[in-house]
Amino acid sequence: MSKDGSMDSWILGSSFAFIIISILNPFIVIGKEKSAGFKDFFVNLGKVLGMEHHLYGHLWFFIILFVIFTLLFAYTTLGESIANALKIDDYAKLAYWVVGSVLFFFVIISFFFLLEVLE
Amino acid sequence: MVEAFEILGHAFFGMIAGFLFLWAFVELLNLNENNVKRMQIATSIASASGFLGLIFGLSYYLEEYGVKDTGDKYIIKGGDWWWAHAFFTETKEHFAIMGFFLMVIILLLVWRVDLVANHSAKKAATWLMGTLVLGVLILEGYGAIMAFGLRIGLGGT
Repeated sequence: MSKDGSMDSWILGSSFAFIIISILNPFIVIGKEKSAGFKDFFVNLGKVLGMEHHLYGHLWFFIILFVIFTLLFAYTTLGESIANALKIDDYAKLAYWVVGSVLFFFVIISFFFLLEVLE
Repeated sequence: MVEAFEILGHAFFGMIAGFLFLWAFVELLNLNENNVKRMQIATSIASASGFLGLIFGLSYYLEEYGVKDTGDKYIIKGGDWWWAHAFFTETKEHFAIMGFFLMVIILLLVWRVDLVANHSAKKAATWLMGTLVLGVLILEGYGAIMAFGLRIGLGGT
């Protein structure tokens, strides 16, 4: 359990990891599309992991980020500090943040690709 | 043949995941000691199915869809519905990856917390399960638009 016992630390950690990735994901995509260097990074990451296609790069990049952030928030007091700062004191409020981050991700990434199509 | 196997597997496991997440969502709305195990099992099978759907989709993308010049991607891009790839495939890729992480959270929530006793956690699980159901529906819809894009690209109407 988390340090104050109110929430499971793994759920808190993975939820915060998810929220961060949801916010980062659209900007990473925009960066990848707009910057050759960023695109190379994804392709090279895939190659380092023995996988040629950039999709593997995406997948591994986000899995690695998710695991790192989950461990960081689950094993340190950082997750609880953020939860306290955002007044997240139960699972329902945590879920609202997760669902909110899904909506944010959905809107931003749809908007970006829509702009790409309209261009 | 392999292409058909991959794409049908992708759609099949995705749909199974959607139905089972919907089942678990309904169980959550009326959760008690009698159906909590059923809800946990439905969520677990749904997540496993969703994961398989992702693997099949990834395999199809790499082996068939994205093959340079001859893949379905280039047929769609060459047709009147070129935006079926430019918008729907591109966004679907990223939704699917995020769906994988959401499944991890929902699995942790339904197995590690007593949802019958903890009403806040039950509410959280209901919201996340509902989001997953909606997400699967969106992904299925996007897949259908991609299929139409391919049909148009091949000269169909």
